[in-house]
Amino acid sequence: MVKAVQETKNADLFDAMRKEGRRVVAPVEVSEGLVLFRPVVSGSRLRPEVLRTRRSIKEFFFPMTETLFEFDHGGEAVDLQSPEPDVPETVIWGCRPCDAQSLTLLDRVFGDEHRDEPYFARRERTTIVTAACEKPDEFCFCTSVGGSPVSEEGSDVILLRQSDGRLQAKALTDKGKALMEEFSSFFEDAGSDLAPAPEVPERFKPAEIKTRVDAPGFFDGQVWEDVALACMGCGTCAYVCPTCHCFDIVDEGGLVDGRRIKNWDACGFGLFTKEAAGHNPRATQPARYRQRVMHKFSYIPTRYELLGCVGCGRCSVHCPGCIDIAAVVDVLGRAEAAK
Amino acid sequence: MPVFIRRAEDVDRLAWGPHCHHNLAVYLTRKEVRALGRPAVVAMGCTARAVVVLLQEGQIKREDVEIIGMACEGMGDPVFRKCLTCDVRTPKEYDVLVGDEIGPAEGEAEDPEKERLDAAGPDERWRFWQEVFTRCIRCYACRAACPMCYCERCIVEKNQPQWVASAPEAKGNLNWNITRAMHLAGRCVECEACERSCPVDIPLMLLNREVTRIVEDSFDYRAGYDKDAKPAMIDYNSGDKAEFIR
Repeated sequence: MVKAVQETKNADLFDAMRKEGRRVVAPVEVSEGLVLFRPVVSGSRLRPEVLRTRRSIKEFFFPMTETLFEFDHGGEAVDLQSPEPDVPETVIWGCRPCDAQSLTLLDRVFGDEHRDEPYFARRERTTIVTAACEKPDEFCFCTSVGGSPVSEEGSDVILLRQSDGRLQAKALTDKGKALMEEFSSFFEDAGSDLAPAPEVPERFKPAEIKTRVDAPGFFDGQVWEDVALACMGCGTCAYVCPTCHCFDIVDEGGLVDGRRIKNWDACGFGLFTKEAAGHNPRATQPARYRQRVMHKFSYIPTRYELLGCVGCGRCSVHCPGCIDIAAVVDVLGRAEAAK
Repeated sequence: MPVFIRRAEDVDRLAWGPHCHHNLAVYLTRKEVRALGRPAVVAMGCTARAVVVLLQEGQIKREDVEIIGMACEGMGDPVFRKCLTCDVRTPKEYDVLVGDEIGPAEGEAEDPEKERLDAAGPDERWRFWQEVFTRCIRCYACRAACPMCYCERCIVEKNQPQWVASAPEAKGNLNWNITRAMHLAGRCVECEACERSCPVDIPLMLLNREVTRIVEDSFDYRAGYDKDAKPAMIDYNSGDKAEFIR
């Protein structure tokens, strides 16, 4: 199904969706210059034109913090309570193709060997309406990792700019079609051709990178120190990243009661692999940064035949040490095999 | 980005310009950097202040670091507000100075957000900080970028007991951010690396500047100017004002 939609009517469309019980999540200006995906409420400052929200859409499926269960062992038996899942029917409107592409990997991570039911409950109840990119910037590198500014992967509906200025809304799945039918009063006849898609120059070939980093001896090479000494060991890159999915499970509470919590974690943290006896197999920051790159460009491809990076550029934009991952990958690709 | 030059032939990788805003003193306490040998650190005024604090706190010996002082007329494009009133445009501590000595900046910097908070009562300030910290995601970029946060085991990494709730939720976020501000009292050199590194634009310097002001008013002390001075929050001086004891 191919229709057109007027961007100027977004607020009204979102109102209509909310009246039908949907939670609408869209890029919202939270404070000056800070645009995040947030549930839309009346008065929300919608910012659909912003190229890159600060964070990705993964937190709507893999929350930053999640209570797994509550426990109380003050009585005779241990009392366990699972929290009631609160999963509203949701429409994510206006994520980018790179954001949607991350779900392909996250579905495998949270579904392959053990199915994370809350994750999939959120996935099932969410419709993804992706806005194709019109003005990629110098941090974008989706085309180097199998994506593009107009990629349809992972989306239920894709919005593409037409030459007449309206957005073409193309349903890609039954879910997307159902959404467009339910709110059909906002979807007009398409009737115009598309504006040309923007270009994102290719910066590297991931297969070549994988071959290079997998070469014998490369893992222990000097190059990792060269690229990663600037890494300060925060979690910013992992947290803004659409595909990073590591988590930490902790029990917190009082003497007899508490909850088991799943929180986002980051391999950049010094504590990430520290063992109880004090040994840390990744004892230096270059070793930890190496893990980030190897995970995304070698281990995930080996395991899932997918890349662990969608080329959104957020980590490069926000790294306090100004580390640009595409530049790092480029350096690795040109580094000598083992030194 | 910050580079670590180990061979003379790589010296062309060095750059200097308005984008060189990082406080490189943060690397002086990292073990993988120390393992490279005696460092020379390129230090503009705020960076040099941080090095001085590290000297005062025994984290590095003066003879174990070479300070390449940089005369600096301001970082950022447009120039950062803090640079408009900088009094360390020539660093206070260095081994060699690059550039001619420059006096303190003579600009004025309006700070309407701080003025608004200063004028508001404690209830409103408390509400402001509670609300702002709800968006903290506990990435700890502020901690990582701060040269004064060098604890090998940060308080948030301890769980016997769990001093600070680990989840990025309101309660733990407030605890974390206020604890860090308090741990910086009398130590913060106002380089603003923390605020600049925050991926959710939390105005951390509003709090850090206030704590700095309180220390200055109470103890007539600002961090990082004099390596032989005794830090206010470590030293007992019988001449300290005691008006806050009521």
